[in-house]
Amino acid sequence: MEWQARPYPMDVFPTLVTRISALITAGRFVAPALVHEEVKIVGTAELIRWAEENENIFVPTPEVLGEALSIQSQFTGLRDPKAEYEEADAYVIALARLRGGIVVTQETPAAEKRRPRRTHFIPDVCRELGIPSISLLGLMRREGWRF
Amino acid sequence: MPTFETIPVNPSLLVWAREESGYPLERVAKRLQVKEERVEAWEKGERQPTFRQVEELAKFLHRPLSVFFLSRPPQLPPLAAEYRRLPGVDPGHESPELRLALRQMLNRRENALNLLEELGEPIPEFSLRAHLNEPPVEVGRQMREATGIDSMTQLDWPNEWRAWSAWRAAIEQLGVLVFQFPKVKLEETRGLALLRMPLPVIAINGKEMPEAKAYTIFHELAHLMLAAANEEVSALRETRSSVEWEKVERFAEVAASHALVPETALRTIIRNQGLSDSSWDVADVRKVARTFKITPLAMATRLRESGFMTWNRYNHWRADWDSYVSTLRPRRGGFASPAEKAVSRAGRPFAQLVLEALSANRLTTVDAARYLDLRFEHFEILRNHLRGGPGEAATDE
Repeated sequence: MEWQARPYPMDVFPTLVTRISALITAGRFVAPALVHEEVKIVGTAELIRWAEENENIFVPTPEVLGEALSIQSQFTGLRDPKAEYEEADAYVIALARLRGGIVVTQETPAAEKRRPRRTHFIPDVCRELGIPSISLLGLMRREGWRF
Repeated sequence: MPTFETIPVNPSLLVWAREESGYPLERVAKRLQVKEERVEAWEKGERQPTFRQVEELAKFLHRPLSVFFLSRPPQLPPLAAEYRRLPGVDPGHESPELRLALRQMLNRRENALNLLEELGEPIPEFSLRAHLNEPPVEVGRQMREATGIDSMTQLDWPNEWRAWSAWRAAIEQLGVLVFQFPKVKLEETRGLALLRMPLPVIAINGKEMPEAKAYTIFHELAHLMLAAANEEVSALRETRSSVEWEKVERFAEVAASHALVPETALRTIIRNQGLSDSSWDVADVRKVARTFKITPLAMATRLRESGFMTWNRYNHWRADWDSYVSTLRPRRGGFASPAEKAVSRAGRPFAQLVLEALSANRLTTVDAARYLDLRFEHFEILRNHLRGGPGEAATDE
Protein backbone atom coordinates (compact mmCIF):
# COMPACT_ATOMS: atom_id res chain seq x y z
CA MET A 1 0.00 0.00 0.00
CA GLU A 2 2.85 2.34 0.84
CA TRP A 3 4.09 2.67 -2.72
CA GLN A 4 0.67 3.22 -4.20
CA ALA A 5 -0.43 5.70 -1.57
CA ARG A 6 2.60 7.96 -1.43
CA PRO A 7 5.79 7.87 -3.48
CA TYR A 8 4.48 6.15 -6.62
CA PRO A 9 0.74 6.68 -7.03
CA MET A 10 -0.83 4.61 -9.82
CA ASP A 11 -2.08 7.58 -11.85
CA VAL A 12 1.43 9.13 -12.00
CA PHE A 13 3.38 5.89 -12.41
CA PRO A 14 1.23 3.70 -14.67
CA THR A 15 4.29 1.86 -15.99
CA LEU A 16 5.10 0.72 -12.47
CA VAL A 17 1.69 -0.95 -12.32
CA THR A 18 2.43 -2.64 -15.65
CA ARG A 19 5.76 -3.90 -14.34
CA ILE A 20 4.19 -5.21 -11.15
CA SER A 21 1.49 -6.88 -13.27
CA ALA A 22 4.24 -8.66 -15.22
CA LEU A 23 5.67 -9.97 -11.94
CA ILE A 24 2.21 -11.20 -10.97
CA THR A 25 1.74 -12.95 -14.30
CA ALA A 26 5.11 -14.63 -13.81
CA GLY A 27 3.98 -15.81 -10.36
CA ARG A 28 6.73 -13.76 -8.70
CA PHE A 29 4.57 -11.34 -6.68
CA VAL A 30 2.60 -12.66 -3.71
CA ALA A 31 1.35 -11.39 -0.36
CA PRO A 32 -0.38 -12.90 2.65
CA ALA A 33 -4.16 -12.55 2.79
CA LEU A 34 -3.79 -10.32 5.85
CA VAL A 35 -2.33 -7.66 3.56
CA HIS A 36 -5.53 -7.81 1.54
CA GLU A 37 -7.48 -7.31 4.78
CA GLU A 38 -5.35 -4.26 5.57
CA VAL A 39 -5.93 -2.84 2.10
CA LYS A 40 -9.68 -3.31 2.48
CA ILE A 41 -9.69 -1.43 5.77
CA VAL A 42 -7.35 1.48 5.09
CA GLY A 43 -6.57 1.47 1.36
CA THR A 44 -7.69 3.90 -1.31
CA ALA A 45 -10.62 2.92 -3.53
CA GLU A 46 -8.17 2.49 -6.43
CA LEU A 47 -5.95 0.13 -4.45
CA ILE A 48 -8.91 -1.85 -3.16
CA ARG A 49 -10.07 -2.29 -6.75
CA TRP A 50 -6.57 -3.30 -7.85
CA ALA A 51 -6.31 -5.83 -5.01
CA GLU A 52 -9.66 -7.34 -5.97
CA GLU A 53 -8.60 -7.61 -9.60
CA ASN A 54 -5.43 -9.38 -8.47
CA GLU A 55 -6.90 -11.52 -5.75
CA ASN A 56 -4.82 -14.50 -6.80
CA ILE A 57 -1.67 -12.90 -5.34
CA PHE A 58 -3.00 -13.26 -1.79
CA VAL A 59 -2.00 -16.46 -0.02
CA PRO A 60 -4.65 -17.71 2.45
CA THR A 61 -3.73 -17.20 6.10
CA PRO A 62 -3.90 -20.90 7.10
CA GLU A 63 -1.05 -21.61 4.65
CA VAL A 64 1.34 -19.29 6.48
CA LEU A 65 -0.13 -19.29 9.97
CA GLY A 66 2.17 -21.93 11.48
CA GLU A 67 5.31 -20.27 10.18
CA ALA A 68 4.06 -16.81 11.21
CA LEU A 69 3.32 -18.02 14.75
CA SER A 70 6.78 -19.54 14.94
CA ILE A 71 8.36 -16.22 13.86
CA GLN A 72 6.22 -14.33 16.38
CA SER A 73 7.38 -16.67 19.13
CA GLN A 74 10.98 -16.02 18.21
CA PHE A 75 10.51 -12.25 17.84
CA THR A 76 7.88 -11.47 20.45
CA GLY A 77 7.88 -7.78 19.58
CA LEU A 78 6.01 -8.65 16.37
CA ARG A 79 3.02 -9.60 18.49
CA ASP A 80 1.17 -6.99 20.53
CA PRO A 81 -1.45 -8.58 22.79
CA LYS A 82 -2.98 -5.13 23.38
CA ALA A 83 -3.51 -4.59 19.66
CA GLU A 84 -6.95 -4.68 18.10
CA TYR A 85 -5.92 -6.52 14.98
CA GLU A 86 -3.27 -8.85 13.65
CA GLU A 87 -0.33 -7.09 12.07
CA ALA A 88 0.72 -8.63 8.77
CA ASP A 89 4.47 -8.32 9.43
CA ALA A 90 5.15 -11.87 10.64
CA TYR A 91 2.98 -13.28 7.84
CA VAL A 92 4.92 -11.39 5.16
CA ILE A 93 8.20 -12.74 6.51
CA ALA A 94 6.73 -16.23 6.89
CA LEU A 95 5.58 -16.25 3.28
CA ALA A 96 9.02 -15.21 2.06
CA ARG A 97 10.58 -17.92 4.19
CA LEU A 98 8.22 -20.61 2.94
CA ARG A 99 8.59 -19.65 -0.71
CA GLY A 100 12.25 -18.65 -0.66
CA GLY A 101 11.24 -15.12 -1.62
CA ILE A 102 12.42 -11.60 -1.01
CA VAL A 103 10.48 -9.28 1.28
CA VAL A 104 9.65 -5.89 -0.24
CA THR A 105 8.90 -3.41 2.53
CA GLN A 106 9.01 0.32 3.15
CA GLU A 107 9.43 -0.28 6.87
CA THR A 108 12.71 0.93 8.35
CA PRO A 109 14.82 -1.03 10.87
CA ALA A 110 14.78 -0.28 14.61
CA ALA A 111 18.22 1.32 14.41
CA GLU A 112 16.78 4.11 12.25
CA LYS A 113 14.11 5.00 14.79
CA ARG A 114 14.59 7.41 17.65
CA ARG A 115 12.29 5.54 20.03
CA PRO A 116 11.42 2.19 18.45
CA ARG A 117 8.22 0.76 19.94
CA ARG A 118 9.71 -2.70 19.56
CA THR A 119 13.18 -4.18 19.06
CA HIS A 120 12.50 -5.84 15.72
CA PHE A 121 10.83 -4.46 12.62
CA ILE A 122 10.49 -6.35 9.32
CA PRO A 123 14.04 -5.59 8.07
CA ASP A 124 15.52 -6.54 11.47
CA VAL A 125 13.74 -9.91 11.56
CA CYS A 126 14.64 -10.62 7.93
CA ARG A 127 18.29 -9.87 8.63
CA GLU A 128 18.36 -12.24 11.60
CA LEU A 129 16.56 -15.00 9.71
CA GLY A 130 18.70 -14.58 6.62
CA ILE A 131 15.77 -13.56 4.43
CA PRO A 132 16.56 -10.85 1.88
CA SER A 133 14.52 -7.66 2.26
CA ILE A 134 14.48 -4.62 0.02
CA SER A 135 12.48 -1.44 -0.45
CA LEU A 136 10.34 -0.84 -3.52
CA LEU A 137 13.15 1.25 -4.99
CA GLY A 138 15.43 -1.71 -4.29
CA LEU A 139 13.02 -3.94 -6.22
CA MET A 140 13.08 -1.55 -9.19
CA ARG A 141 16.89 -1.56 -9.20
CA ARG A 142 17.06 -5.33 -8.80
CA GLU A 143 14.70 -5.85 -11.71
CA GLY A 144 16.52 -3.23 -13.80
CA TRP A 145 13.40 -1.15 -14.34
CA ARG A 146 13.84 2.31 -15.92
CA PHE A 147 11.19 5.04 -15.98
CA MET B 1 -5.70 -25.98 5.34
CA PRO B 2 -9.19 -24.91 4.21
CA THR B 3 -10.92 -22.28 6.34
CA PHE B 4 -13.74 -24.66 7.29
CA GLU B 5 -11.38 -27.13 8.97
CA THR B 6 -10.99 -26.94 12.74
CA ILE B 7 -7.87 -25.42 14.18
CA PRO B 8 -6.20 -26.17 17.52
CA VAL B 9 -6.55 -22.93 19.50
CA ASN B 10 -5.72 -22.62 23.19
CA PRO B 11 -9.11 -22.87 25.01
CA SER B 12 -7.91 -20.74 27.93
CA LEU B 13 -7.16 -17.94 25.46
CA LEU B 14 -10.71 -18.12 24.12
CA VAL B 15 -11.98 -17.56 27.67
CA TRP B 16 -9.42 -14.81 28.29
CA ALA B 17 -10.21 -12.91 25.09
CA ARG B 18 -13.97 -13.06 25.64
CA GLU B 19 -13.85 -12.07 29.30
CA GLU B 20 -11.22 -9.40 28.73
CA SER B 21 -13.53 -7.89 26.10
CA GLY B 22 -16.44 -8.00 28.54
CA TYR B 23 -18.72 -10.29 26.51
CA PRO B 24 -20.98 -13.00 27.94
CA LEU B 25 -21.09 -16.34 26.13
CA GLU B 26 -24.46 -15.66 24.51
CA ARG B 27 -23.30 -12.54 22.65
CA VAL B 28 -20.31 -14.38 21.20
CA ALA B 29 -22.51 -17.30 20.21
CA LYS B 30 -25.04 -14.97 18.59
CA ARG B 31 -22.37 -13.14 16.62
CA LEU B 32 -20.80 -16.39 15.40
CA GLN B 33 -24.24 -17.87 14.73
CA VAL B 34 -23.62 -20.96 16.82
CA LYS B 35 -25.25 -22.29 19.98
CA GLU B 36 -23.96 -21.14 23.35
CA GLU B 37 -23.09 -24.76 24.18
CA ARG B 38 -20.78 -24.81 21.16
CA VAL B 39 -18.80 -21.80 22.40
CA GLU B 40 -18.70 -23.33 25.87
CA ALA B 41 -17.32 -26.55 24.40
CA TRP B 42 -14.58 -24.59 22.59
CA GLU B 43 -13.68 -22.84 25.82
CA LYS B 44 -13.48 -26.15 27.67
CA GLY B 45 -11.32 -27.64 24.94
CA GLU B 46 -13.96 -30.28 24.17
CA ARG B 47 -14.32 -29.07 20.58
CA GLN B 48 -12.33 -26.81 18.28
CA PRO B 49 -13.63 -23.91 16.17
CA THR B 50 -12.91 -23.69 12.45
CA PHE B 51 -10.31 -21.25 11.17
CA ARG B 52 -13.08 -19.03 9.78
CA GLN B 53 -14.75 -18.96 13.20
CA VAL B 54 -11.49 -18.00 14.92
CA GLU B 55 -11.04 -15.21 12.38
CA GLU B 56 -14.58 -13.97 13.08
CA LEU B 57 -13.99 -14.17 16.80
CA ALA B 58 -10.79 -12.12 16.51
CA LYS B 59 -12.67 -9.45 14.55
CA PHE B 60 -15.61 -9.38 16.94
CA LEU B 61 -13.43 -9.16 20.06
CA HIS B 62 -10.95 -6.78 18.38
CA ARG B 63 -8.03 -9.08 19.13
CA PRO B 64 -5.07 -10.22 17.02
CA LEU B 65 -5.64 -13.63 15.49
CA SER B 66 -2.41 -14.99 16.96
CA VAL B 67 -3.54 -14.32 20.53
CA PHE B 68 -5.64 -17.51 20.41
CA PHE B 69 -2.51 -19.58 19.86
CA LEU B 70 -0.49 -18.26 22.79
CA SER B 71 0.55 -20.76 25.46
CA ARG B 72 -0.95 -18.61 28.23
CA PRO B 73 -3.00 -15.41 28.49
CA PRO B 74 -1.06 -12.13 28.24
CA GLN B 75 -0.49 -10.27 31.49
CA LEU B 76 -2.18 -6.91 30.93
CA PRO B 77 -2.97 -4.32 33.60
CA PRO B 78 -6.69 -4.13 34.44
CA LEU B 79 -8.51 -1.37 32.55
CA ALA B 80 -9.93 -0.09 35.84
CA ALA B 81 -6.37 0.78 36.86
CA GLU B 82 -6.35 3.39 34.12
CA TYR B 83 -9.53 5.43 34.49
CA ARG B 84 -10.97 7.49 37.33
CA ARG B 85 -13.78 6.15 39.47
CA LEU B 86 -17.04 6.49 37.56
CA PRO B 87 -20.36 6.65 39.37
CA GLY B 88 -22.35 3.52 38.60
CA VAL B 89 -19.52 1.69 36.86
CA ASP B 90 -18.25 -1.37 38.68
CA PRO B 91 -14.50 -1.72 37.99
CA GLY B 92 -13.89 -4.80 35.86
CA HIS B 93 -17.56 -4.97 34.83
CA GLU B 94 -17.64 -2.24 32.23
CA SER B 95 -19.74 -2.78 29.12
CA PRO B 96 -17.92 -4.36 26.13
CA GLU B 97 -18.34 -1.04 24.30
CA LEU B 98 -16.68 0.92 27.10
CA ARG B 99 -13.91 -1.65 27.47
CA LEU B 100 -13.13 -1.40 23.76
CA ALA B 101 -13.21 2.41 23.90
CA LEU B 102 -10.80 2.36 26.85
CA ARG B 103 -8.40 0.05 25.02
CA GLN B 104 -8.52 2.19 21.90
CA MET B 105 -7.89 5.40 23.82
CA LEU B 106 -5.04 3.90 25.84
CA ASN B 107 -3.41 2.68 22.63
CA ARG B 108 -3.90 6.09 21.03
CA ARG B 109 -2.24 7.81 23.99
CA GLU B 110 0.68 5.38 23.78
CA ASN B 111 0.96 6.02 20.05
CA ALA B 112 0.98 9.77 20.70
CA LEU B 113 3.83 9.41 23.18
CA ASN B 114 5.78 7.21 20.77
CA LEU B 115 5.31 9.64 17.90
CA LEU B 116 6.33 12.65 20.00
CA GLU B 117 9.53 10.90 21.02
CA GLU B 118 10.14 9.61 17.50
CA LEU B 119 9.86 13.15 16.17
CA GLY B 120 12.02 14.56 18.97
CA GLU B 121 9.16 16.76 20.17
CA PRO B 122 8.89 17.62 23.88
CA ILE B 123 6.09 15.87 25.74
CA PRO B 124 3.67 18.54 27.00
CA GLU B 125 3.46 18.82 30.76
CA PHE B 126 0.15 18.93 32.57
CA SER B 127 0.84 21.30 35.43
CA LEU B 128 -2.58 22.11 36.92
CA ARG B 129 -3.28 20.84 40.43
CA ALA B 130 -6.30 20.91 42.73
CA HIS B 131 -6.74 19.91 46.35
CA LEU B 132 -10.01 18.98 47.99
CA ASN B 133 -9.38 21.48 50.79
CA GLU B 134 -9.42 24.33 48.26
CA PRO B 135 -12.67 26.11 47.42
CA PRO B 136 -13.96 24.48 44.20
CA VAL B 137 -15.00 27.94 42.97
CA GLU B 138 -11.34 28.94 43.07
CA VAL B 139 -10.36 25.76 41.19
CA GLY B 140 -12.97 26.69 38.58
CA ARG B 141 -11.42 30.13 38.26
CA GLN B 142 -7.96 28.57 37.81
CA MET B 143 -9.24 26.25 35.10
CA ARG B 144 -10.88 29.13 33.28
CA GLU B 145 -7.75 31.27 33.52
CA ALA B 146 -5.65 28.39 32.19
CA THR B 147 -7.82 28.22 29.05
CA GLY B 148 -7.07 31.88 28.29
CA ILE B 149 -10.64 32.40 27.08
CA ASP B 150 -12.34 35.50 28.47
CA SER B 151 -16.06 36.00 28.94
CA MET B 152 -16.43 38.35 25.97
CA THR B 153 -14.99 35.73 23.64
CA GLN B 154 -17.28 33.06 25.06
CA LEU B 155 -20.38 35.23 24.69
CA ASP B 156 -19.43 36.09 21.09
CA TRP B 157 -19.30 32.47 19.91
CA PRO B 158 -22.09 31.93 17.41
CA ASN B 159 -23.22 28.51 18.63
CA GLU B 160 -22.54 25.59 20.94
CA TRP B 161 -20.46 23.75 18.29
CA ARG B 162 -18.02 26.64 18.12
CA ALA B 163 -17.95 26.76 21.92
CA TRP B 164 -17.20 23.05 22.24
CA SER B 165 -14.39 23.25 19.66
CA ALA B 166 -12.83 26.23 21.40
CA TRP B 167 -13.00 24.72 24.89
CA ARG B 168 -11.54 21.49 23.56
CA ALA B 169 -8.66 23.26 21.79
CA ALA B 170 -7.92 25.33 24.89
CA ILE B 171 -7.77 22.27 27.13
CA GLU B 172 -5.64 20.36 24.62
CA GLN B 173 -3.12 23.18 25.00
CA LEU B 174 -2.75 22.27 28.67
CA GLY B 175 -0.96 18.98 27.92
CA VAL B 176 -4.14 16.88 27.82
CA LEU B 177 -5.32 14.62 25.02
CA VAL B 178 -9.04 15.02 24.44
CA PHE B 179 -10.71 12.07 22.75
CA GLN B 180 -14.31 11.18 21.98
CA PHE B 181 -15.60 7.64 22.11
CA PRO B 182 -18.56 6.17 20.23
CA LYS B 183 -21.17 3.50 20.98
CA VAL B 184 -21.16 3.75 24.78
CA LYS B 185 -24.54 4.52 26.34
CA LEU B 186 -24.75 7.89 28.05
CA GLU B 187 -26.28 6.11 31.05
CA GLU B 188 -22.98 4.28 31.54
CA THR B 189 -20.75 7.33 31.29
CA ARG B 190 -20.79 10.80 29.77
CA GLY B 191 -17.06 11.24 30.11
CA LEU B 192 -14.01 9.93 31.88
CA ALA B 193 -10.38 10.67 32.54
CA LEU B 194 -7.41 8.37 32.03
CA LEU B 195 -5.12 9.21 34.93
CA ARG B 196 -1.84 8.63 33.15
CA MET B 197 0.94 11.22 33.41
CA PRO B 198 2.36 12.73 31.29
CA LEU B 199 -0.25 13.28 28.62
CA PRO B 200 -3.39 12.39 30.56
CA VAL B 201 -6.60 11.83 28.62
CA ILE B 202 -10.05 13.36 28.89
CA ALA B 203 -12.59 11.28 27.02
CA ILE B 204 -16.05 12.50 26.11
CA ASN B 205 -18.98 10.37 25.05
CA GLY B 206 -19.61 11.23 21.39
CA LYS B 207 -23.37 10.81 21.88
CA GLU B 208 -23.41 13.88 24.10
CA MET B 209 -24.73 17.25 22.91
CA PRO B 210 -21.98 19.85 22.34
CA GLU B 211 -23.18 22.14 25.14
CA ALA B 212 -23.10 19.17 27.53
CA LYS B 213 -19.63 18.18 26.30
CA ALA B 214 -18.35 21.60 27.35
CA TYR B 215 -19.45 20.90 30.90
CA THR B 216 -18.09 17.34 30.89
CA ILE B 217 -14.67 18.40 29.66
CA PHE B 218 -14.25 20.80 32.60
CA HIS B 219 -15.63 18.21 35.01
CA GLU B 220 -13.01 15.72 33.84
CA LEU B 221 -10.31 18.39 33.92
CA ALA B 222 -11.10 18.94 37.61
CA HIS B 223 -10.67 15.18 38.19
CA LEU B 224 -7.32 15.24 36.39
CA MET B 225 -6.18 18.15 38.56
CA LEU B 226 -7.18 16.24 41.69
CA ALA B 227 -5.38 13.12 40.46
CA ALA B 228 -2.25 15.14 39.64
CA ALA B 229 -2.28 16.35 43.26
CA ASN B 230 -2.77 12.76 44.52
CA GLU B 231 -6.25 13.56 45.78
CA GLU B 232 -7.82 10.76 43.74
CA VAL B 233 -6.63 7.52 42.20
CA SER B 234 -7.86 5.07 39.59
CA ALA B 235 -11.21 3.28 39.88
CA LEU B 236 -9.42 0.09 40.86
CA ARG B 237 -7.55 1.68 43.75
CA GLU B 238 -10.19 4.15 44.92
CA THR B 239 -11.43 3.07 48.36
CA ARG B 240 -13.67 5.96 49.48
CA SER B 241 -17.25 5.19 50.42
CA SER B 242 -20.01 6.25 48.03
CA VAL B 243 -20.86 9.16 50.32
CA GLU B 244 -17.26 10.34 50.42
CA TRP B 245 -16.90 9.91 46.68
CA GLU B 246 -20.03 11.96 46.12
CA LYS B 247 -18.17 14.88 47.73
CA VAL B 248 -15.37 14.52 45.18
CA GLU B 249 -17.91 14.50 42.35
CA ARG B 250 -19.61 17.55 43.81
CA PHE B 251 -16.26 19.35 44.00
CA ALA B 252 -15.63 18.65 40.30
CA GLU B 253 -19.18 19.79 39.40
CA VAL B 254 -18.88 23.11 41.18
CA ALA B 255 -15.43 23.74 39.75
CA ALA B 256 -16.66 22.92 36.22
CA SER B 257 -19.73 25.13 36.43
CA HIS B 258 -17.70 28.09 37.70
CA ALA B 259 -15.12 27.58 34.98
CA LEU B 260 -17.84 27.71 32.33
CA VAL B 261 -19.87 30.50 33.92
CA PRO B 262 -17.75 32.94 35.93
CA GLU B 263 -19.67 34.76 38.64
CA THR B 264 -19.11 38.29 37.31
CA ALA B 265 -20.19 37.34 33.79
CA LEU B 266 -23.28 35.59 35.14
CA ARG B 267 -24.41 38.62 37.14
CA THR B 268 -23.77 40.97 34.21
CA ILE B 269 -25.78 38.83 31.78
CA ILE B 270 -28.69 38.44 34.19
CA ARG B 271 -28.79 42.21 34.66
CA ASN B 272 -28.42 42.96 30.93
CA GLN B 273 -31.14 40.47 30.00
CA GLY B 274 -33.50 42.02 32.55
CA LEU B 275 -33.73 38.83 34.54
CA SER B 276 -32.73 40.14 37.95
CA ASP B 277 -36.25 39.59 39.26
CA SER B 278 -36.96 36.48 37.22
CA SER B 279 -38.92 33.65 38.74
CA TRP B 280 -36.78 31.40 36.49
CA ASP B 281 -39.13 29.45 34.32
CA VAL B 282 -37.84 27.12 31.61
CA ALA B 283 -37.67 29.89 29.00
CA ASP B 284 -35.59 32.25 31.18
CA VAL B 285 -33.07 29.58 32.08
CA ARG B 286 -32.79 28.52 28.44
CA LYS B 287 -32.11 32.12 27.45
CA VAL B 288 -29.15 32.49 29.83
CA ALA B 289 -27.93 28.97 29.01
CA ARG B 290 -27.86 29.82 25.30
CA THR B 291 -25.80 32.91 26.05
CA PHE B 292 -23.13 30.84 27.78
CA LYS B 293 -23.57 27.89 25.37
CA ILE B 294 -24.26 25.35 28.11
CA THR B 295 -27.27 23.13 28.79
CA PRO B 296 -30.29 24.62 30.59
CA LEU B 297 -29.88 21.96 33.28
CA ALA B 298 -26.28 22.99 33.94
CA MET B 299 -27.41 26.62 33.92
CA ALA B 300 -30.13 25.97 36.48
CA THR B 301 -27.60 24.24 38.70
CA ARG B 302 -25.30 27.20 38.30
CA LEU B 303 -28.08 29.67 39.14
CA ARG B 304 -28.84 27.68 42.27
CA GLU B 305 -25.14 27.72 43.16
CA SER B 306 -25.04 31.50 43.07
CA GLY B 307 -28.27 31.92 44.99
CA PHE B 308 -30.47 33.05 42.09
CA MET B 309 -32.62 30.00 42.68
CA THR B 310 -33.53 28.39 45.97
CA TRP B 311 -33.41 24.60 46.22
CA ASN B 312 -37.18 24.63 46.26
CA ARG B 313 -37.39 26.75 43.11
CA TYR B 314 -34.71 24.56 41.48
CA ASN B 315 -36.66 21.38 42.21
CA HIS B 316 -39.79 22.87 40.68
CA TRP B 317 -37.82 24.05 37.66
CA ARG B 318 -36.29 20.60 37.29
CA ALA B 319 -39.73 19.01 37.20
CA ASP B 320 -40.91 21.55 34.58
CA TRP B 321 -37.74 20.96 32.58
CA ASP B 322 -38.07 17.17 32.61
CA SER B 323 -41.63 17.52 31.42
CA TYR B 324 -40.56 19.95 28.66
CA VAL B 325 -37.71 17.67 27.52
CA SER B 326 -40.04 14.70 27.27
CA THR B 327 -41.98 16.57 24.56
CA LEU B 328 -38.87 17.17 22.43
CA ARG B 329 -37.88 14.99 19.50
CA PRO B 330 -34.37 13.54 19.73
CA ARG B 331 -31.82 15.93 18.26
CA ARG B 332 -30.24 14.69 15.06
CA GLY B 333 -26.53 15.13 14.44
CA GLY B 334 -25.19 16.84 11.33
CA PHE B 335 -23.22 15.13 8.60
CA ALA B 336 -19.50 14.69 9.21
CA SER B 337 -16.97 13.47 6.67
CA PRO B 338 -14.70 10.55 7.62
CA ALA B 339 -11.80 13.01 8.07
CA GLU B 340 -13.87 15.23 10.36
CA LYS B 341 -14.93 12.19 12.34
CA ALA B 342 -11.30 11.15 12.75
CA VAL B 343 -10.39 14.58 14.15
CA SER B 344 -13.47 14.60 16.32
CA ARG B 345 -12.52 11.18 17.72
CA ALA B 346 -8.78 11.55 18.20
CA GLY B 347 -8.37 15.32 18.49
CA ARG B 348 -6.56 17.83 16.34
CA PRO B 349 -3.16 17.49 18.09
CA PHE B 350 -3.10 13.73 17.57
CA ALA B 351 -4.17 14.02 13.93
CA GLN B 352 -1.45 16.64 13.34
CA LEU B 353 1.11 14.42 15.03
CA VAL B 354 0.25 11.47 12.78
CA LEU B 355 0.51 13.63 9.65
CA GLU B 356 3.81 15.07 10.80
CA ALA B 357 5.24 11.61 11.49
CA LEU B 358 3.99 10.43 8.11
CA SER B 359 5.63 13.35 6.33
CA ALA B 360 8.87 12.68 8.19
CA ASN B 361 8.71 9.01 7.15
CA ARG B 362 8.56 7.93 10.77
CA LEU B 363 5.31 6.10 10.20
CA THR B 364 4.02 3.86 7.43
CA THR B 365 0.86 4.70 5.53
CA VAL B 366 -0.87 1.64 6.97
CA ASP B 367 -0.03 2.62 10.55
CA ALA B 368 -1.07 6.24 9.95
CA ALA B 369 -4.41 5.09 8.59
CA ARG B 370 -4.84 2.63 11.46
CA TYR B 371 -3.92 5.23 14.09
CA LEU B 372 -6.59 7.59 12.80
CA ASP B 373 -9.03 4.86 11.79
CA LEU B 374 -9.22 6.62 8.45
CA ARG B 375 -8.77 5.33 4.92
CA PHE B 376 -5.71 6.84 3.27
CA GLU B 377 -7.79 8.34 0.48
CA HIS B 378 -9.27 10.76 3.04
CA PHE B 379 -5.89 12.09 4.17
CA GLU B 380 -5.89 15.02 1.74
CA ILE B 381 -9.31 16.07 3.04
CA LEU B 382 -7.93 15.67 6.55
CA ARG B 383 -5.07 18.04 5.73
CA ASN B 384 -7.50 20.60 4.33
CA HIS B 385 -9.73 20.22 7.36
CA LEU B 386 -6.82 20.79 9.74
CA ARG B 387 -5.78 23.92 7.82
CA GLY B 388 -9.21 25.35 8.70
CA GLY B 389 -8.19 25.83 12.34
CA PRO B 390 -10.14 24.86 15.45
CA GLY B 391 -13.83 25.55 15.39
CA GLU B 392 -14.32 25.51 11.66
CA ALA B 393 -16.23 22.26 11.73
CA ALA B 394 -19.75 22.18 13.09
CA THR B 395 -19.85 18.43 12.99
CA ASP B 396 -19.22 15.63 15.36
CA GLU B 397 -19.69 11.92 15.75
